[in-house]
Amino acid sequence: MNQHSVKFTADLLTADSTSVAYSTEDWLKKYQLEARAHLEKCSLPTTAEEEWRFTDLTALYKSNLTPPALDEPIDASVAKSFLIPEAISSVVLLNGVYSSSLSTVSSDQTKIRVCNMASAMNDAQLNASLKRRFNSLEGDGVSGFCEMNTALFKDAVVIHANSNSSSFETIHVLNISTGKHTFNHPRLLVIAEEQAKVCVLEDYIGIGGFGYMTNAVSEFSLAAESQVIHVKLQRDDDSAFHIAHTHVGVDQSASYQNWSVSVGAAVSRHNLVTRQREEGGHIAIKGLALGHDKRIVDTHSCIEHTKPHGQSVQVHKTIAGDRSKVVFNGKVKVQRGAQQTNSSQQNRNLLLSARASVDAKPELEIFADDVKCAHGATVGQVSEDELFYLKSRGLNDDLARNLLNYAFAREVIEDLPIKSLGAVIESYIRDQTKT
Amino acid sequence: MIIKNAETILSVQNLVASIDDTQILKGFDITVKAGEIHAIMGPNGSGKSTFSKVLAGHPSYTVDNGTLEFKGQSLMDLEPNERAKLGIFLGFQYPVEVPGVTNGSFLRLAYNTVQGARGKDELDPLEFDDFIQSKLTLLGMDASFLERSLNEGFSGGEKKRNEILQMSILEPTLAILDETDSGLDIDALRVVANGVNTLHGENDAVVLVTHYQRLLNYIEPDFIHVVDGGRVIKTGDKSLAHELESRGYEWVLEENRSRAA
Repeated sequence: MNQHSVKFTADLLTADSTSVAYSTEDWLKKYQLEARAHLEKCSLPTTAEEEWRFTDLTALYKSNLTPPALDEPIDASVAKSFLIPEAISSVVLLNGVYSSSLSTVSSDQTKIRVCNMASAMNDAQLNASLKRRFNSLEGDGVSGFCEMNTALFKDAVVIHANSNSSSFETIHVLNISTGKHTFNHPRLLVIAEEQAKVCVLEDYIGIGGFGYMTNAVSEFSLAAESQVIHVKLQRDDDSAFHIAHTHVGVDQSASYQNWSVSVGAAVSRHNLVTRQREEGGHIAIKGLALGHDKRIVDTHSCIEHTKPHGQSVQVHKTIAGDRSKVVFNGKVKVQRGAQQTNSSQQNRNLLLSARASVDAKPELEIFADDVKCAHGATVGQVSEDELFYLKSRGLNDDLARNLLNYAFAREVIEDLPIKSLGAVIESYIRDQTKT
Repeated sequence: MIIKNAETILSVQNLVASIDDTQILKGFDITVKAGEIHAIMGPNGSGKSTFSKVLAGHPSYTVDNGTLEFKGQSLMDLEPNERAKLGIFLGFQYPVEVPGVTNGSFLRLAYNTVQGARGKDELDPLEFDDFIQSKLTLLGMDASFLERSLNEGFSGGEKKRNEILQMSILEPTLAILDETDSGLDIDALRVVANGVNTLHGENDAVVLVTHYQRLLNYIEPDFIHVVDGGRVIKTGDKSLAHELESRGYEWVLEENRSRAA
């Protein structure tokens, strides 16, 4: 076992040993104690494990992290400048804790209920729902970081879309880190009842924070015929560590659409696990990851079809510049009973520099015999002919390259349902792919 | 039109250029003056397209010898974008498709970059829309062209019209149109030719690179150059085009061979 990982794990658990978040609820306390006990035996993953061999976390494990101060001052106007006009409710978590002063929650809670963990548990009905759906993590893509989150999370955002929510109202969950070498464990739970519709923006930023770790867990539970749009925008500070686990369960004929955009952090890892649990579910994932400077950006996705007539479409694009390291591991699993599955996966990687690297690994595990699974992965460079064409129209080299980089990435973001994010992401692409 | 004492726009002398260590241009000469239209013709592989790419500064080609001057200024060390700002325009044989960049925003960017360098005011999107309207009409193009991705999914004819649209907004002093007629039906050819004729004036020059005499029925050249083996082997007036159309290239090549011998 790796000594840095062992020490780091133990330090985090002791630094925060005083706080089991909701000890009043037995079911939650049980999860938390179990997670803690398990972590005390098995520490966080290292490159010695196959699933983590491209994600070197030594820098994280060598850093001395402390819990964030709970009364960290923040300039409210700066925080609010990140909010989007489309959101009917904006929930702001400051270092993993719900901030009532920065959040604006719609007064109409009859269709979509948005609250923090404590309020949810005070509502008998919601508490029962939470009890059933919380900690659905199992199987592929689960790691010690999930347990770390379960053991140490301070607060959670709960979004509960009722069956009468019919218009994809947008909820913005903005996670702000302000600490220097601190850690936080944001948690998000999204429950969509039958035929419900909701759009969730899960957003991570650092304001004044430095070298901190975000260790996020998000769970999505989609009941039959519900439709969920989920946009995850990771724009943590360039010095930060961002570890995120997203687990999604899709019931009969429900539809889950995900856009995952990674443009921040020094080291980031996103485990995105989606499981079609009943017949006819639909999963669509679009990913964009930018490698810039010495960043390591790793996306591990798993789409699992367990029942017949499931559909999934995945497009993952990356741009690797400077000395960055970009990783994509895309697993598609079709279980024995999942006949008539129709799945496609496309992974396109653009290398901008001789010192950048891309590790692309499509992984298909198919146990059914009547399925259609297409996949493709490419790694390429900017084409000389395209560049010459643009330059012959007067554009200088940098601008022409910038335009082509943006053109490459645009497929992922052009149909983003949250329109105002288009320009925001475009500016990240332009900034981070400058030569 | 041939104008007495007109300014020399392009002067190419003994140009030798190669790609991947293979020499393609082997002593290419041409002089183009303001107001003139030149046609460069020749069989496949003669070096016509290479000449147009070298002129525009394609990075895959290296110039080994000779001079390449635009209005008395050497182009040798200039990037393609610097040449564009000076007033050189290459209409591509195969315009590149760039998905994700809208035609309209690209045209405005090109306009502002090139015309801005010449001291004109930059246009904002609304001003640019007004400006480009008459150009679209000239080329029989619908405004919806501007909303589409640059050349993506354009038919052959649409791509070529789009090239001439770019030429119309960049107002080059020297336009080299590389096989602009290839892939065009007769109506599209008329539209494109009409566009070029309308844009051409006494202060600029046009060089047409073409396989066929057909285009020259619509755009009348003042000079015709036959290229073979990376050199101009015969220059004449427009009657040469008709002769080439009826007799083919072989007699010119033969004439050249016997002269060499």
